[in-house]
Amino acid sequence: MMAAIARGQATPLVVASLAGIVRQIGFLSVPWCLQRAVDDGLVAADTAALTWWAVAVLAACVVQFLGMCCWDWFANLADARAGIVLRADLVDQVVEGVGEGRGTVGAGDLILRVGRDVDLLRVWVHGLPTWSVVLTTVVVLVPGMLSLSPLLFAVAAATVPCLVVVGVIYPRRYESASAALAEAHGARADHVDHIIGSAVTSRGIGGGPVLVSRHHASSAGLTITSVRTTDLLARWQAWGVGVPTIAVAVGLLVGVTAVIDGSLTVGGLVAFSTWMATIGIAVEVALMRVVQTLEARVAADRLSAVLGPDLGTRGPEEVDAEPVAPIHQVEVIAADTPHAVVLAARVGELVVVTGPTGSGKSSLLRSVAGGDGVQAVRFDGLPVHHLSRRALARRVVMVPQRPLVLEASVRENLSLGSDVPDSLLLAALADVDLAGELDLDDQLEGGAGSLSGGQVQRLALARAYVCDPAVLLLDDVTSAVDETTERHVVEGLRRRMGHRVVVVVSHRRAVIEAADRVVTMGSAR
Amino acid sequence: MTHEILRTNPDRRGSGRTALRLARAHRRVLTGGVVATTAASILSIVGAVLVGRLTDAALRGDGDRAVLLGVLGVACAVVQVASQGCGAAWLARAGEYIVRDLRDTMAHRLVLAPLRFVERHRAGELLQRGTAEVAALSMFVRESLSQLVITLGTLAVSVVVLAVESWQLLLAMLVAFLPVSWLLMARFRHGAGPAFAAEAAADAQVMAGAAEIVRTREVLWQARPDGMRHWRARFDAYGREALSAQMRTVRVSRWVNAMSVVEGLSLAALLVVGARLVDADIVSVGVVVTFVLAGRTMFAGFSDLSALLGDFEEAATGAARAHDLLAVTGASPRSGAGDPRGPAVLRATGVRFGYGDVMVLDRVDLELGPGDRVCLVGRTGSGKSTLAKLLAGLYTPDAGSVTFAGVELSSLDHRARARAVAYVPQQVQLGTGTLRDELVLVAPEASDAELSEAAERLGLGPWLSGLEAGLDTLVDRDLSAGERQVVGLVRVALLDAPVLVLDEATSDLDPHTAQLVEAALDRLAAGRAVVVVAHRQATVDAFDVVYDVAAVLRRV
Repeated sequence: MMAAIARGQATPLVVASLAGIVRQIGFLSVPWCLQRAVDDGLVAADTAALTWWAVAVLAACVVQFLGMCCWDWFANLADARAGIVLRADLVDQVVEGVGEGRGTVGAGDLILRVGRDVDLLRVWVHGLPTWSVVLTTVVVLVPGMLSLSPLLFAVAAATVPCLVVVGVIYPRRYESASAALAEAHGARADHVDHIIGSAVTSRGIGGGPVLVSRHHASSAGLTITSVRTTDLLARWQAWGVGVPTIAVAVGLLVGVTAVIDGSLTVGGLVAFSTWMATIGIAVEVALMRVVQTLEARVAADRLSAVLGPDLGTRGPEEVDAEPVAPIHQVEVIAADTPHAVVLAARVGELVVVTGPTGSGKSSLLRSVAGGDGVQAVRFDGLPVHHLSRRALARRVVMVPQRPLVLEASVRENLSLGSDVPDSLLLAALADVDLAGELDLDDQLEGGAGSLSGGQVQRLALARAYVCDPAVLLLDDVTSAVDETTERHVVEGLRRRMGHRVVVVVSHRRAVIEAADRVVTMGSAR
Repeated sequence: MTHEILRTNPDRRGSGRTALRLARAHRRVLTGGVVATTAASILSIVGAVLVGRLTDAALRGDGDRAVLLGVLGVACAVVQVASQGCGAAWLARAGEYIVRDLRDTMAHRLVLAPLRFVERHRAGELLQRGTAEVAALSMFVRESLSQLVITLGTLAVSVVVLAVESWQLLLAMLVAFLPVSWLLMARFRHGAGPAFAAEAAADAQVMAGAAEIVRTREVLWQARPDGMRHWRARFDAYGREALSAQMRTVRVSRWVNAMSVVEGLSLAALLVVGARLVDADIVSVGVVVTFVLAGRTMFAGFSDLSALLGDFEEAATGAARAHDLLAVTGASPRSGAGDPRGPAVLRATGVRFGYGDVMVLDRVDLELGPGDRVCLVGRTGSGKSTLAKLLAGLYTPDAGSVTFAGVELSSLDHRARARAVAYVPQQVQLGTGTLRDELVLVAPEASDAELSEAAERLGLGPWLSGLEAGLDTLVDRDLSAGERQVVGLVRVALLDAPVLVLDEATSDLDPHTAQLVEAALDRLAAGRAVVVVAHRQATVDAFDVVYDVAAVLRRV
């Protein structure tokens, strides 16, 4: 997956890499100019040469600045675009319903993945051009050091295997610590999501203190994992920086004897010292990028769990292209006995399912809507389980007991973004007795919002009417509605029966009386 | 206070004070970290001085002294590395503890915040501030904070040491460096605040949009292809805004990148002035070498600092937004358990309440003594549920008061208020744990026997023993909507409050179980006051006192 992301941003990444190389060449020539300035200017007391080399230093810095600006711009562009592509893909997957059933990921954790994990991948993309900078450093410094003195080169070269050893021991330990850290963050996020989501209920019973203590326990666990990861990182970085630092000191000790012998100039010592610092920085930067790559790999795995192994293309439109054929009969088969039909509903017939709490009415509806798949479902004799969630949702609309309200206008809530004439929307509102209470342009809040429970249920029913599905399932949608309004809703429902299969779960008298057929579910499972 | 909402670009001043207050609790680790990193900084500059002396010794031909200085340099380097490693670890640890305190406080505040505050914000926005933004702060602490402290320390030490070596050279370097760099940093800071805040806000909007899509995905599956395009386009627009906000911060960062040109200028000045001083025999070549090396460290420090300041700006914005959440939710201190002296009467006097500009309730008077049972009716949207929440103390009235036993309900803390007036909403929101986890929210110390006994007091013993997993049942997966209402009622039984407010609580149950619960409520209601918001005629008929909320409004 990471390779696909990088390929997607090839152009800005390449430009950024080239700009980085320019910047680094400017950066690396400064010590060399300094060396010449010290040797030819200071030690030799030649003012003209000194001035010339001083100007050269300034020029190198200007080149460095220009390269840096260009590098920064394109690296940011690449990472921003990569972020957009990833998030759009994730949202597509969620909206297409492809990933459902791939294993439970709590809502808070899913959002964290869209947030934190995508950010980790963006950081990785941002850091890709840095590798070219590191490469330039190596290419310039190796001959540079050799030209100073083979002994100093040996000291510089000796730091590399030490750093490699460090780079082999620590990354693997850091990767597992980082994965544990991501899990701990996700668990804590689920607690915060619960606190926010159960705002009314927990205040009503004073359950706040327990929720807080549960959060704090999760937070304490997160801190322990975090500190462990941080300590590991600190030790790793200390070694990464420490080895070059100590190597410089050793190199200076070695170099000074060479200066006394006359095989090395003072300027050479300055150049060596400065370049070693650069080696230290280059190693530090490379280590940081390795860390970021590891974190990105953890993030990519977590995203693959939701997205699948490849970056998906923008949704298969074939599902939507085929017209939905009308459905004449829906049958639900019992889970244990393959031939026992639990429910059979026909077109134009209002079927009401009733029964005591817990007798499985809601799960019956969920099976038809494609949720749990506990019971087998047949449409016109054909089994349904091969259809994708999206395909199923085009044919079957279920209005749950607690419907969702989109954070948008009433018009958008009803039409779900499609271009539907206002007259159809108003007709749907009239059929649920909401025409006087809501305007098409009213903005609704998501979540608890400003609508009462009954209004939400009726809005969702109106939305289902606009959707005009072949199968309509209603789960107790008049439970929060007063009886006058309920009568209007039931009348509206009968008007809209026409060419579809309608199954309603209810225990309200008005609904049962309006039914063509009543099915009573047995008592407790 | 009821009208405050979170700001997208909040003031930063308060967050510094909050950070210091949080830091004080961990000052030992923090001080240890600062001391260790300062020691590392000192040693790094000392190393540059040693190189200078070493150079002079080499030029003089004094081999022994040069070697001695070299050995000293190696020892210095070793101690510096150890010191830096420990210091970085301690600093990061202190930072982690501070972030933990911050996020714990945020969670606590979210629990205590007034209900209107939570309802006024998108859940995604609150979630973002409480989780992802705090996680970003944690990452800043882990990666950048110790670097920042080290860099600042190194700069401070460099200036001191170099002044001792040659104040003239230091002056020359600072004159070439400081004015221009100050100007650059000033331009950066001027643009950085709004640019980074805009970037954070745009990112938050993307996340809120994604959260909204995740939340409503089951509805979105029903949309037709052109509808899908509409929602995708809306989300894509957020993405584009985030991109331009990010590129704006890149433009602002150019001022920081220009520091390298200033660096070149200073080095050039250093060389030219140094040559003059060497000619005049005021300083040795070695001193100029020290300045060149230390200067490079200083400049590298400055450009690190600039990059780190960029990180710091982002983190400061995040901290300000976190602090904003704390400030907005901390404004009303609740006095605590209260002192209910009067008779156990729930009294609403002259209550007025509205959402924004819309007045919903005006001059409502209501009184409930022990044993009173009141039913609230009215057409949909007339404010029954709102009145119920006001009576339960979940909303604060715009005017008038709601008191219980003489104590203002909104002045009590959440536990005390729930023990006075318990409230069960229309939709009982449960988490993802077991039944026991949910019941224990009310009574953390209760044993399984006490929980079962509470269910039996309601006549729900058979139901509980009928559950396959008993108290270990997963509420999210294995309970139906009607059974979730049952859980809500058992919790109320555990709470044992003298007043109960129920919002259509029995409307989700089938008639058989609803009758069971009503009989149980009858048992609970003995000696207690009960308010029910009802829709069904059957419920209304069972009550003696019926209060028509719509009629109140019509009364002038």
